[in-house]
Amino acid sequence: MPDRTNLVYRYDGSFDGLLTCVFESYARHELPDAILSPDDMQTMLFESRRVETDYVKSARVLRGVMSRISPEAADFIRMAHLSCIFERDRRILVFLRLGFDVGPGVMNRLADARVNALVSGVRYLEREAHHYMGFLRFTEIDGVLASVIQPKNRVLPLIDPHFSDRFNAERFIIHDASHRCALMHMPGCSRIVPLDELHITASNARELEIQALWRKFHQTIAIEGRLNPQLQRSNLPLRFRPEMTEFQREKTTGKEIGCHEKSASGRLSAV
Amino acid sequence: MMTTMEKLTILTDAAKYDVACTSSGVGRAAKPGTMGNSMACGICHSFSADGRCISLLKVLQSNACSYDCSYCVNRRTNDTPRATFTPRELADLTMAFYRRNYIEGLFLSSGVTGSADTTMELMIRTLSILREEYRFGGYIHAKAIPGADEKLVTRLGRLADRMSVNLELPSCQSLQKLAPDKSRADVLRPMSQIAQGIAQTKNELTLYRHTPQFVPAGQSTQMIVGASPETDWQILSLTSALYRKYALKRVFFSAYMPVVADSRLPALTTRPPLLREHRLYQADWLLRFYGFTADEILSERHPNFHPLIDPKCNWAINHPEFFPVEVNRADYEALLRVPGIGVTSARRILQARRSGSLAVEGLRRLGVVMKRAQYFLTVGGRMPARVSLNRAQLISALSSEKGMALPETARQLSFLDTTEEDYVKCLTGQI
Ligand code: SF4
Repeated sequence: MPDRTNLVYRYDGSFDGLLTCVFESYARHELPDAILSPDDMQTMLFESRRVETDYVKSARVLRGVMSRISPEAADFIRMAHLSCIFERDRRILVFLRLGFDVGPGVMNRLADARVNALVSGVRYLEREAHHYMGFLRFTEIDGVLASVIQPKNRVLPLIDPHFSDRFNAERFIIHDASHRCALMHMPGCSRIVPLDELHITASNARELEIQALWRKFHQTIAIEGRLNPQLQRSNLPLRFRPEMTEFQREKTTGKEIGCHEKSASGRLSAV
Repeated sequence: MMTTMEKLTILTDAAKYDVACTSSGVGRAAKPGTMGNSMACGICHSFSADGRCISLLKVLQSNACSYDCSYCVNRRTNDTPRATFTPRELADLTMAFYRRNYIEGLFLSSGVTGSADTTMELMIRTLSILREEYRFGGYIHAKAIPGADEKLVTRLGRLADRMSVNLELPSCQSLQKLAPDKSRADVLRPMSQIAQGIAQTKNELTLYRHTPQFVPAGQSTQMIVGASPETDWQILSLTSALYRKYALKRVFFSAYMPVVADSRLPALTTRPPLLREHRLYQADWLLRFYGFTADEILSERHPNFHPLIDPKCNWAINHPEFFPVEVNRADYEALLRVPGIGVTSARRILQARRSGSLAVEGLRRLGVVMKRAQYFLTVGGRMPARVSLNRAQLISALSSEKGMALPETARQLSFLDTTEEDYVKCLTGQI
């Protein structure tokens, strides 16, 4: 029986939700034209089916991926799901269908457009996460390190191990403003929680002094005879700069850290 | 009393001509309860207006130098403001920057204040406060001062991740002429001491687990290009010898930037030879990752780089007998010789071949730059370019428009500093 195509799946955006969509697609002999999460723009061209996340179904799909494709493929789609590539979820479904047909070898098919699309997406995610390991800036407020980023991909799960190791004895919060969630860390534990907004304003004299010293360093280290703003821009795209101390103007006054939270997330933000 | 701000300004300004700012070469997790770890691939934290990566807080401990190297802004006879960080002040600044994720660590160098030994002692004091008192686990690159006592070099090496001794100039004669207080021997002695120390520690580590570390991220050096008359071939041969003899991790090149009027040096109006520096980095990459030897790249008969063609393309044009390479059969080494195929795309080709033979469209997806590669490979027996070009046509097809404009704009100099970002770029950038 040929698969039905002209319809759209909608799900809650979770990884288990996506795997449930994969399950439904097989069970109902459907190949949806799009799989949409709440983050996606909703188009209403086709009939849409709401797929409720079902942990039994998602676990079955995951076991199937591990045994019939490979454990690497399972890790790979988990990463791909964090990326922001166009039509991400439908591409993951297409990849899995190919994988179930050809087995573990699917991971080598780098030249196949269906595989390559996801590989490039994961690469982009990893590159952005690596960028943020360097470009992210903390401001210290009452002993807590706070940061806001605006990534295109969901990078928090990727940068968590790095920062939680490097600053293991600190309390810190990294707010992903694009995806409205935050990584919170305290010695011995870190987790990612929903968070709508975080305002950071330094007011402490020592903090402002350190920021000024860093700006001075950044400005002084450049060699005038080799100024090259194009190169600077290709290495450090403008979109990262609003959150970076060295590209912000000197601040002289400010208020305490404020935090509007959506859920019961904000132990750290109570400071 | 000078403020920290004033000192930072002076001692950054005095350190900025040093090229190396990499934080790579050692992976280390943080000890629980302490601050700092290190990523083997290095991390760029910012980029300055000249486009170079900022990874480390790069400053001098002091610029009150008692030597008189003609090419250097800090030389004794130059009229410039002087400053010296106290070890505590610099350690505190490093911690404050690191904690806010501004930097990967510290790159500490210094002018010779008093003697080589007193300078080293001051630097050691800074690093001991960081490592022993503050238990800092981030990256430290320290410069050994030529002529310092061996024991001090060892002590510094136990605190640092990477050490470097700058060769400064590519030949003894030039060093003698331009840096009268330094001898080649003074430079090479600590370099070989560090090389031996690294080798010995590696040995001992396999025997006893608790051998104290010594320069785990290896040793690097830097030379100034364009202040003295050596050819590209001489510089590249020296580079290759340094990798072999002293097991260096990196050799950096710095286009000479005229900072002083001196009859022994190029005139103040001379532009820094950025293209030459760029070509040297490309060739250096071929030595380290592409299996080329210095003599394959340049020779006594052709001692200088082609201004329009990068060294890899240049080799390919001069070795028509090696091509075309069949992508579906060639081994890794042969693939690496093809212009337009880099380390990453060569690896991907090998991986993708396991699941079937490749077509042109697929090669593009693997990151092969077909614009260049098309003249040098076959895909399933067929050459994508369809026409074969003669030497002159190849030269014009492969010289990039950017290359033409480069002497003026120095637009695409992306190899200045190499942490992960540039590394990736170089590997995928088909040099
Ligand atoms: S020793 Fe020479 S190169 Fe080093 S700071 Fe002093 S004058 Fe400059």
